[in-house]
Amino acid sequence: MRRKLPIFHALALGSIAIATGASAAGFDGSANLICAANNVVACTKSSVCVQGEASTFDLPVFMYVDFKGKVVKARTEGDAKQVESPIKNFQKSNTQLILQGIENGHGWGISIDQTGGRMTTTVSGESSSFMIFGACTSIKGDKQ
Amino acid sequence: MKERNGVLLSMVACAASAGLLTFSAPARADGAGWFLGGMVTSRVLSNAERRTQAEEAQAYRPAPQPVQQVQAQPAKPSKERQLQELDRLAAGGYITPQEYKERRKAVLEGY
Repeated sequence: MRRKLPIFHALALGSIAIATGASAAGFDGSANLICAANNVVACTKSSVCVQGEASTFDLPVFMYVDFKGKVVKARTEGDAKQVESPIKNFQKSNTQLILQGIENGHGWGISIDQTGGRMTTTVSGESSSFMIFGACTSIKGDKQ
Repeated sequence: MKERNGVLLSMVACAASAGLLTFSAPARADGAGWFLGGMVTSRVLSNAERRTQAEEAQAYRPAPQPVQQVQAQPAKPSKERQLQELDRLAAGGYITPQEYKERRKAVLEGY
C-alpha cells in the first residue's frame, strides 16, 4: 500500500523546486549581481519631486551586490574610489530578493525580481526619499 | 510519533532560517566610502535641489517690466506767450519792474 506523502515533505519539495528555478536565473543570492540604474525619482518633504535618468544624477553606471562580502558597492571617479553599503538584512520573498541596510542616517532597500532581475532601490532619510529603477544580472563564475 | 515531531520541528527551523537570513556587518566609522546613504544620496539630492531651484526661479521670475516711456518734453511756449505771462506777473506784482525788464529782454533775445 502506498503511503500518503506528508504535507511538510510536499512543501519541502516545492520549496526546492522553486529555489532551483530561481537559481537558474541567478537571482537567488547564490551569485553576485551587477546592476545598472536607469531612472531615478526623488522627492523632498516639501512635496517636490524630480525625476530623470540615472546619468543626469551623476550616479555610477553599475553597482555590485556582493553576497559573500555582504555589501553593495560601486566605483566612482574613474574607478579611483570605491564606495559601499553594508547589507544588514537579506531575505527572499516569493518573487523578490530583498536587501536592506542603514547608512548615514538613511535606510535603504533593494528589491530584485528573482526571475527577471528587475531592480528597485529605495533610499529614505529625514527629509527626502528617492527611488532608483534598473535591472541586474548575475555575474557568471562568481558563485558563492 | 516522536520521530515525526522531530522532523517537523527541524523543517520549521530550516524554513525559518531560510526565510530570515540576517546579515550583520560592522558599522563604518568614517563617512568616506558611504554608497547608498552617502554618495548616491548626496548626488541625487543635490541634483534635485538644483533642479527645484531652477524650476522655482523659472516659475517665479518676475514679469519683465514695461519699458518706461520717456515723456516728451512739452513744447516750448512761444515768445508771445512768454511775454504775456511776464505781463501778467508784473501786473500782479509778482515780479519787480527790474525783473520784468530783464526777463522780457531775455525772452526777446531768445534766452
